[in-house]
Amino acid sequence: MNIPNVEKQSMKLQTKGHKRHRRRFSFLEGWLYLLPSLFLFTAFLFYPMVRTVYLSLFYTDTQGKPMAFAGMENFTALLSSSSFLLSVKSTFLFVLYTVPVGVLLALGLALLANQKLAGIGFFRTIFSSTMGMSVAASSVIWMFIYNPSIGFANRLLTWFGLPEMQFLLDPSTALIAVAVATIWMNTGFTFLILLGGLQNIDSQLYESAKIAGVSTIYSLRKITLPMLSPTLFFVITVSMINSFQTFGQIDILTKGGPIDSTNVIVYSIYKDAFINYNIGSASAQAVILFLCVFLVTIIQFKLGERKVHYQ
Amino acid sequence: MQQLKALQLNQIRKSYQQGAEVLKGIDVAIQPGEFFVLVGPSGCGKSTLLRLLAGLEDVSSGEIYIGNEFANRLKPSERELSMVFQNYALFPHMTVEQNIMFGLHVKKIAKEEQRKRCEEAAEMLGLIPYLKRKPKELSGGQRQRVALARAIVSHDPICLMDEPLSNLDAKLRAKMRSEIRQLQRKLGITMIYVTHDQTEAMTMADRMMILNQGVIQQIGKPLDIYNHPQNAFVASFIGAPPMNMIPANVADSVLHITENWSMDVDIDWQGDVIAGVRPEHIQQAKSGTPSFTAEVVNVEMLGTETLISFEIQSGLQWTAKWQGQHQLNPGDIVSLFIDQNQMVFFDEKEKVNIEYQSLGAVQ
Ligand SMILES: Nc1ncnc2c1ncn2[C@@H]1O[C@H](COP(=O)(O)OP(=O)(O)OP(=O)(O)O)[C@@H](O)[C@H]1O
Ligand SMILES: [Mg+2]
Repeated sequence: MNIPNVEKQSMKLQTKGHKRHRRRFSFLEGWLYLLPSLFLFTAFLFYPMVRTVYLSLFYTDTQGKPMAFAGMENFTALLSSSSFLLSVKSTFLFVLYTVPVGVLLALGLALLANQKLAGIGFFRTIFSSTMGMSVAASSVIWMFIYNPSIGFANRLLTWFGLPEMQFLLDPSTALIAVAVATIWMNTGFTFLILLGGLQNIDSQLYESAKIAGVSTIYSLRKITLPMLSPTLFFVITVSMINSFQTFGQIDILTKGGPIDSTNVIVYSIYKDAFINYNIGSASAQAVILFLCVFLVTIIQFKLGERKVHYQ
Repeated sequence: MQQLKALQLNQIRKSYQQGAEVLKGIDVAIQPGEFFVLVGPSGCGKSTLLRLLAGLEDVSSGEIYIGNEFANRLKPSERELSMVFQNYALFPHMTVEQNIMFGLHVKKIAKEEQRKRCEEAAEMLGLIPYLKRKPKELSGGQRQRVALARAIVSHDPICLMDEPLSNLDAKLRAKMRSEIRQLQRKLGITMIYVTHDQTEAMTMADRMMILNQGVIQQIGKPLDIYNHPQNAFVASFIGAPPMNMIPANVADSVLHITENWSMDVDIDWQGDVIAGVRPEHIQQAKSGTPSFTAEVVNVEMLGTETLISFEIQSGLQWTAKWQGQHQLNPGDIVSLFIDQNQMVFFDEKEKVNIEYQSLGAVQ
């Protein structure tokens, strides 16, 4: 920025050198503060990112060393591979299954838990408890629930007089089964954030609405949702990105099967990179996934601008 | 424009789940169309009482009547009243217009009529240029007016206001005071107005109620309360600077205030009292009037009047208010005169004005 220099000439002559010296020093000092995080980001974020893009443009050997420049070959191969297109489809379906239901469920729970009732703290703790559970532990829980012979899910079906199901072994239900488990795992976090958002809304707004006599639904629609919209927006974005990157529960519950029905992009990347040792293709998939997430997030921000009311 | 409504409270008590009683038996009848001010120090239960009236809290015991109707179990919306909150409670995501019209659809008012009322209220409060703005784009005073407008458009006969001016600067506050008062007269609303500012109470009220720790101290017209405070608390709470007080003794119609200052008084009392006198009644002694002298501790010049603080006893300062400008300095010795008819006496134990006690023990 250009700041007009209005100082007296003589002063300027005297202090010019000194000042430049000082400015250079504070500039260096600024970078010095940034150095640790810059270092960490470079080592663990920027370098891998650049490296991934680089590798996606090469044929690689089994060690992941670039062998020959491939240009867009990896990408065109992927886009014409039916198995990758299936992965893309599974990924988008998975996001579609988990995000809207997950957020709505958490919102419902948060609205319930936001009531001023005796003992509500107990329910708040329960509802947010899945946040404290690792993906591995909760996946194991769900593996037992879905177990065809001893699982709780099938016992429930039998109890209702319905035929038993092979949740994780049937290609038509496996993705939904993993989605249900994922929703359960993510509810705690989403719930907690939404509850925080709800508690931030001034209670006098509701009292004012009560005096005006509007219905509960109306004040939910006209007060709660607009006031909660920044939080909702945040939660939806984060859930979506999380959902695109789901890996742990798929690895534990289905390993991408049956017949690749749960082979979402991240899992496919993992298989290509560490089982098939096709690093080039895996990198290309990673780049495509990155672009997908990037695109969806941008669209969301564009839509959000119109609907979100920041205070 | 609308039918005026009275309010009646019988032995209202309120305690929250945890802790002591906040309101300890409130009895008051508020006349239709009255500007009734509720005043008291912070934490005395003013907001609580207002919330009980609005139906936002349930009473622990006692009865509320709104316009002859038993109202304890009415929902807030059934009580036909509007409320202005201390921080205005405007909806930040709605425009001024939407804020003003919020909830009108519930009253089955046609869209056209809603718009008309909104325009009327905005016109009255000078909000027309701001109708399309969001609250955050308004100044404090403008927001306050939006809150007022919202209370007006509902055409409810009763309006409750909880310290609506406390966020405004002194000048704007003075202006809004008279605007609210005029509006209330014009619309014929029964107004219940909470404040902790005694000036606001004095200048706005038809009648006011002074509350301390959940107990009514006095109800009456501002000047009656000013001139005849029921007890020492009221005397020191109403009036600025507060009434000067000192423990004294009356023996055979002679009031002994300090060792070297006593005066004849015309009261039917023997023994210890608390003597009080308003700052404006401590005047400069003219030659020939019985007087006492004191050393000036501090002087505040306000232009039209001068506040003089002096020590009447070690550790007890009094303030005198003299008309005009007086060139005095700390350390000067002044001669002061007090008209005995202007003195107020409270009994030493209960701190009740003896003028009320001699009226056949009103309590
Ligand atoms: N929801 C509540 N739960 C428990 N105690 C409360 C609650 N609301 C108020 N109180 C208590 O009731 C007393 C009176 O509170 P209230 O808000 O009526 O005071 P106030 O006269 O309006 O004071 P201020 O001038 O500071 O607004 C206080 O001691 C307060 O601690
Ligand atoms: Mg209050």
